[in-house]
Parts: sequence; C-alpha cells; structure tokens
Amino acid sequence: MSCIDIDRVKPGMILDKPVHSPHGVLLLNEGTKITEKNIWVLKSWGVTEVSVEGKFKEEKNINDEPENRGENRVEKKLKEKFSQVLENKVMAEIMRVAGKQLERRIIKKAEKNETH
Amino acid sequence: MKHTDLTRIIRKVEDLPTLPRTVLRITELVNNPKSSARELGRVITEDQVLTARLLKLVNSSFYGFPQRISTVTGAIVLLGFDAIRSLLLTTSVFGLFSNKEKANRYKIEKFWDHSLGCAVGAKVIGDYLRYEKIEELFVAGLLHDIGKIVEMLFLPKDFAEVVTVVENKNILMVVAEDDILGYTHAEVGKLLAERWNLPFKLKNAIAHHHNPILAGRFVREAAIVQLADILCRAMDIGSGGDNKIPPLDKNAWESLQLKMSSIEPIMEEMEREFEDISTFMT
Repeated sequence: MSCIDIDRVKPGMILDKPVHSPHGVLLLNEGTKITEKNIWVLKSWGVTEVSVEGKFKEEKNINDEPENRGENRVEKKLKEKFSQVLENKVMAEIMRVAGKQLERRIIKKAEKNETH
Repeated sequence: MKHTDLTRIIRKVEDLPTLPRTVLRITELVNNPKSSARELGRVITEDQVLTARLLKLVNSSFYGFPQRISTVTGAIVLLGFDAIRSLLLTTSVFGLFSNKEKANRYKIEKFWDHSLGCAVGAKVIGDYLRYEKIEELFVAGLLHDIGKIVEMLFLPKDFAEVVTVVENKNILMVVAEDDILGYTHAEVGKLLAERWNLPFKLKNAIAHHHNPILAGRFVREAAIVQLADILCRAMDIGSGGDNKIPPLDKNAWESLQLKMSSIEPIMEEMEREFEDISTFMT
C-alpha cells in the first residue's frame, strides 16, 4: 500500500482503505476502483490524500499550499456565511450540523450522477 | 421608516393581489363562533381548486393521518377550523409566488423554497416544543419574507438597488434595506398582513422575525420563525436573497427553552419533511 497525494491519484487505482470526509462521513469504501469522477468529488470535499494498493513513490507537491488544504468547500462556504455570528454557541452547533447535512447532500448527488 | 416611504408603500400595497374571495369568506366564518363545520365545508367545496388542494394536503405525509380523508367536512372535523384557515392560506399564498414575470422567476423560486423550508422548520420546532397550533407556525414561516416578494414585484427599483448592495457588500438584505431605503421587508410584510386582515399572531411573527423581542405577547412565535429562518439558511434550503446568517437573538432563544442537543434532530427532521412537502407543493 502507499499513501499518496490526491493530485497524484489516477483513475483505475484501487483504494486499500476507506476514505472519509473531514466530518467523518464515509465517501468511498476500500476496494473501490477509482474513477475520474471520484477524484473530482474527493477533491471537492477537501480530501488531501488516500491510501491505494501497490507502490507509488510519494513526491512532495511544490504547489502544496497548506492554507488551501484541509478545509473543504462546504466548510469554507459555511464559515463565510456564519462569519459574524459564531461567538454564539447555538450558532456554532447549527453550523456543525449543517456541515454534516451539506456534505451528505453532495455525496447523494454524486451517487445519483454515478448511476445515470 | 420615513413617512413618505410609508405612504408610497401603502399606495403600492393597495395594488397588491387580494386573497381569493373564498379564503376571505372562510376567514370570516372561522372567526364566527356560531359557524358550523357543515357551513364551512359548503363554502370550501364551492371552490373546486381549493377543495382539491385541501384534500391533497390533509392526505399528505405532512399530517400523517392513518386513514384516507375523502370529504371536506371530514377534514374540517379532524383538523379544526383554525387549521383549515391556515391550510387555505398556505395554498392561496402559493399562487402569489407563481409569478409570470420571467426576469424574477429564478429568484422567486428560490424565495419560495426558502419560505417553504422556513414553514417546515417552524412546524418542526413547534412539534419539539409541543406547541398547540402547529399550522399557524407553518403559515408564519411561509409568509415571514412576503415583504420581499412585495418589494420585488411592486417596488422593483428599490429592490434592485438593495440586491446590488447585498451582492457587492455581502451583507444581509434586511441591513441593506434599512441602510438604503429606510424600511425593511418585515415592515412591508406587516402592512400586507394588515391589508389582508391576517390574525394578530401572524402579523407579529412577520413583522418581528428579525427582532422577536418586539413581538409583545407573540415573542415565542416570532422566535420560532427566526430560528427556522436561520436553520434554512444554514441548510441551504432555497435563498432568502443574501448569503449571510442573521444573528440569533439571545433572549428569543432563551424564551424557547430549547436544548442545544435538540438542534441536530430538528435539522434532520426538517431535511426529511422539506423533501416530502416540496414534492407535492410544487
């Protein structure tokens, strides 16, 4: 197995560990043969690396800017929306749950596209 | 609100569509303690469209009655007068949103989804609080932003100005309205509610959904609508016309006595019910 950067994942590679979103939702199961669409979807959730079968030498990506990573689109959007109200604990809880729901919605949509 | 603006808006509000005559008559009947279910049923059944919508709604998963309700009188007996009025208001308001103007169509659809989401949210929160008249909360949620629709259709120049500022500065629509126009959609909604002779409770929930504490003895209702509005925006259900979350009034939140741990189940239930209801309302 090797843990490789999402930018180096190619269609046809096989996952040897399941991939989860930053909020812990299961995105892809182990054993999945990765498609072009999977890669796009994983990126849009802010997944930065995955574990695949076989040996791939890890190279450091020079364009890898830490401030652009780890925070997925959903979270970015929510933080922007909630920017002025987050000191309220109730609001923080609402944002947490909304993050979960929005991620789930993206997954559902992607699955729907997959079957069409 | 400046006086000149107020009179200008009132003049515009005069041009607003009135509610269907049947709904007005039904409102009168509901307000009269001497009315009978049969009388009310007769007025409703005179309007075929209304009858069809009513039966569709009572048989929907929204109410979840175990048996099919096939007559209007049956629906009235089961739901009660107030619920019927709320229900008819709901179906009539839908007509207002189905505007023929192409330019605004997309926006109106987004508003409608936001309103419907807020209605579902208010209902779900009400369920949690064991609020008695759930249908009233539903209508309050549905109508809370009706002032924005009025602005869009009847004060298009004002509205366009507001939209530009909202987009450029990324601020709440209510803030932009107050800055530029000196009045807000909440005040416009209140005027409309008065013109339509809507119940006090409803008028107050519309007028004060950004400021529940000012809603007098209807703080609870206004606070429920405020929370539902916030949840919808967080969940991306439709669009209220801007991309910000309004602050939650601390006192309003406390007045609800909701537990923090209820937020998640409420939001989950909202998501489920919104999906159900949007399939038969649109």
